[in-house]
Amino acid sequence: MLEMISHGFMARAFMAGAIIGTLCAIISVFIVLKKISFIGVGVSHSAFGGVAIGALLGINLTVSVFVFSTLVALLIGWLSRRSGAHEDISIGVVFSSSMALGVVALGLMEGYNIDLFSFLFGSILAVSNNDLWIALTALSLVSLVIFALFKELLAYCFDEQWARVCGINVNRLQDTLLVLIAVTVVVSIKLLGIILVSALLVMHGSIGRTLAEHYLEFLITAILLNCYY
Amino acid sequence: MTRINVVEVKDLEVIVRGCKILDGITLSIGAGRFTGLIGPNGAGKTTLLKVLLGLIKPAGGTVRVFGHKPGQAHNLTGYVPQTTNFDSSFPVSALDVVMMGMLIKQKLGRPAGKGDRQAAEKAMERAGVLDLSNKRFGSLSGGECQKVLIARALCGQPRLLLLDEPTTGIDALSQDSFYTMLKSLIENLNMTILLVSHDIGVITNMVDDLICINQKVYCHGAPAEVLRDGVVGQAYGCEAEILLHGHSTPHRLLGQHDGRQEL
Repeated sequence: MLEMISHGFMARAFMAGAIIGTLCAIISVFIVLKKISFIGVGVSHSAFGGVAIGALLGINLTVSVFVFSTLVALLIGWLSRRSGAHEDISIGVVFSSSMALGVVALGLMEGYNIDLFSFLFGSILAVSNNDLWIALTALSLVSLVIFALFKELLAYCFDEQWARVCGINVNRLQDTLLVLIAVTVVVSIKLLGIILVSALLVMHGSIGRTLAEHYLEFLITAILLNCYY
Repeated sequence: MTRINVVEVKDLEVIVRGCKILDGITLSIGAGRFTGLIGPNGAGKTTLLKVLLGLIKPAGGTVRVFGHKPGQAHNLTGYVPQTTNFDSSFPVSALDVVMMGMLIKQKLGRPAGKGDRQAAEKAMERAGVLDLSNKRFGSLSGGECQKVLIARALCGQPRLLLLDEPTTGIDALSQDSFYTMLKSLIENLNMTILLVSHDIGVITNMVDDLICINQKVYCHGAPAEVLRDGVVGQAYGCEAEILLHGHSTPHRLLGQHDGRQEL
């Protein structure tokens, strides 16, 4: 084990795994509590549209994925509020449309040389120091916002109506959570891939919720399981 | 002496998805009054509460709560919803739920402090559920949950308490203890309470005023007056038979005599 870590790329891979695992676990708590498990799948798969559009327009793929995923997340929130339907319905609509947009964008290119498989499955062993810093910054940012809004987010997940009665701007809170989910997905995709990110955003959170009696136990269980995984 | 009205509603009209739920509602609730709101299913009772809370915007008319537009008096208003709307597996303790009551007073982003916890414990003590602090909310009985939600509403020290069918699914003994607790709140805190209920027989003995609505206000006044005129039966679309029991006035609502159902 020590010998393995002595290799720079393996040490970075372990660190990246721990950072992304923690990041996904923190967000998964609210995804599971708010019962919007489909959001991880929705936003991560929608990112495919961002990859394709970025490639078509010839812009930095990370930037295009970030912008596209954030817009997708905000669109999901707006649609669910506008229609009064559960978020899962909006996610289903936006997710399939984004994927379709991605396919059209790829079709418009005369030939593409982007490695789609690296976005689908990630490449944690190819993590650079720069990727680590980006992941660490994202973890700090997400943790800071979650810590600052923790009681509001908990109330929003437990009883949205009560949160509104208390004068909390629930629409803005929902948008904030969705943007945090988008940030988490974008940062994690490069390392873990679209498929694994959606799993990390739901699977261990769900296990944690089943095992835990209290939300703090839930959070710790989800972080430990995600990092172990 | 001029009595200050906590709630003032004039010509209220509410339309939800093209359907008129409330039409021409005019009523007022004085400070320190315990008012019961009754009416058949779909009468618009919950909608009226939500309008007062600022959760639903009226299509017409004026609504004032403590002289402010609904939603702007949220730090003076407590709300107790039906317990049936909660996810019993949500991992929060009863104390956590009550602490959510402090959100009414707290600024966004400020972490809960020791004072918030003390206020929550005081509210729990008042509601008689302090011993349940560390229990998971979902593991509590219906009556206990309801008292915890009352404590949550009391935590922000509101002057108006709105309760939406708080005794739904609760057995008679727990209901009795719940109403006793409400009475003590009125006596000790001089709170204004608006209680939505289907237990007409029970609340007529409890409240100062009774309002009966079914899209519009059918009657509003002292319970004895409201029940005497048979207007309640009109609101329910059937005849009302009032049975007197000592100083209480329990009654039941019956369908048409040629009809087959008894409600």
